[in-house]
Amino acid sequence: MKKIIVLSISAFFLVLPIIFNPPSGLSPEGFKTVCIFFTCALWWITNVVPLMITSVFAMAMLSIYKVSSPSEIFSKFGSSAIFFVLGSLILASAFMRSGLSTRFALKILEKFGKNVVGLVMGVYLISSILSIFISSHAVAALMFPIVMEMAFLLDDERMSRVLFLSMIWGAVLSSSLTFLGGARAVLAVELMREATGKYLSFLEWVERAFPVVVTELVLGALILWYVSSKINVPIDAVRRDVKEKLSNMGKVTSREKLVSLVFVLAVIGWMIFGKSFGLASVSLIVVLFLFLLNLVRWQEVEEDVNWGIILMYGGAIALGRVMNETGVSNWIIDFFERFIKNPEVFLVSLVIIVVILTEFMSNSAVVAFILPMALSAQAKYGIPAEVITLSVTIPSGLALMMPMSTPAVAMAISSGKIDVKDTVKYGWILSAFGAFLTILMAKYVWR
Amino acid sequence: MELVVPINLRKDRKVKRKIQKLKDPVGLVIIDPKIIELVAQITVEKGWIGFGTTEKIFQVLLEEYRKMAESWERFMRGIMKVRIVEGNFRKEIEKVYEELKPDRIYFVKSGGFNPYWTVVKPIYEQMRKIYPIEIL
Repeated sequence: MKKIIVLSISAFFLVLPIIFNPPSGLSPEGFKTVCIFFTCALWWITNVVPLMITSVFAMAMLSIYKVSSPSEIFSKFGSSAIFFVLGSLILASAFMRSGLSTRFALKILEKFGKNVVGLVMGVYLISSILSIFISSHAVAALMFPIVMEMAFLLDDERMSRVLFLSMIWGAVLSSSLTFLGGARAVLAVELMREATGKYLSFLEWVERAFPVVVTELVLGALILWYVSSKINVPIDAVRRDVKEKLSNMGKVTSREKLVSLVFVLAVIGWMIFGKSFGLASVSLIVVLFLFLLNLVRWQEVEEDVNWGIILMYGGAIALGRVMNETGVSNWIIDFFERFIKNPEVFLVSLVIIVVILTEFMSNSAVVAFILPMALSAQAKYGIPAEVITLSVTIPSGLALMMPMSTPAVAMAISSGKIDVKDTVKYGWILSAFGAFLTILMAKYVWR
Repeated sequence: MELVVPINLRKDRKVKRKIQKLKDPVGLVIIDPKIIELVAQITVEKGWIGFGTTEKIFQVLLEEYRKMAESWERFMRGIMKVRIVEGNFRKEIEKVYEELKPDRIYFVKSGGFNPYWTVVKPIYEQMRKIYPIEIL
């Protein structure tokens, strides 16, 4: 039923440019693009088809509606951001396959998990550290079996809830710190470059995101500490299990050592050469080294990487480019300007909309949907492009409550150990605080 | 007699009270790997996770569902006998229906987001046209 309603509304949108003349201020191509864009936004929100298929649909429709020639539209698909994301996902695959991530997780648990609070903080620390360097989705997938096993061994409802919350919060909150934790940051920077020619390097991004992410992490840690300090359960079974797993892993292998070396070199490369050679070039060189040193096999990469990300990001970037070229983004912002005159009110509304949307749709889809429009506001409201990009992208990473927002929450809830009311109970505090911090930073620091 | 089929196996006291009010309930827990595989896919659908990782999550959920089935059986002990079977969700219900001829079949689920129910709902919609099925 939902699908029929969504498709009917989509058909209505798509028929509009065929029947009616464009509204004032919009070219016929712009009118077609805006109708395609709102159809895509509807599909991204409702998920009637997978995200990447929506992106492909956008490209096909732009071509069919002759917004531009097919060769021109499909040429917009290519972007260095996609190759950076691809490289970072292959690196993450090597990191996980080598056993390094599991060893790191177990080591932290062995070190910190001496009591209930330590165990919870251990899970939080592992998730947050790993999410700085690899996709938060992959971190959640890595931590899920570990936390599940712990929950089973402890057999305590409250403890299970706190452990899953620490997994979600750690993985989600840290993911905005670098380009590696959530590929949406790279998508956002690429959209900004396409629209304005401005760019943020790897280090510049970290520098700007750091205060928000770290403050959020501290708040998360305080809440987890407060909740877990009230729980009193014996944790000997978990400690034995962690020790046994660590001893089964044996000594650190040469593969683990080499992968960690390549990882460190990759991060240094992105920081130092990212701006001059491009993040994607560094990524691809890293991938080459991984294969030259036999640190990863193509079959493993095929299993670990979701190739749909290429279609999703490529399509979203192409749609963003066409929206700028046809003046759609400007037209939409002109429309909002009639109601919102004040730049501060615009910024606050933007952050609030993003925080709400990200709970119901994929965070990269939020960036693809909101950012191309929001970037047009830089001229109208006099807000720098970097500030708009950060004000959309960082709150889009605050998906902490709803299972439809991010796999970390969905996985935790599918375990049956935690419910939506549990993720909402404290998640809203972190989301609201994150939004408040973003607004403060946008007003006083990022400008 | 009533056949009670739990969907997401949460140890819900409200559900327990509702079952207690039935005349002669018999429980049937079905571990259907196909359903759990779809649940794993639903949980990762918004994420950029490869099929190898999805497969691992499926294995974890399947193992967990087996443990939860036993735990649910213990939770319901004293109220009704619970059978735990592994196989196709619909076929297992039909098999037990033919064998026990219950007056009603009750699907039991707790509220909120429930990926198991998302997967089972279309099966329920089809089966209710043929069998006396209700949601408890």
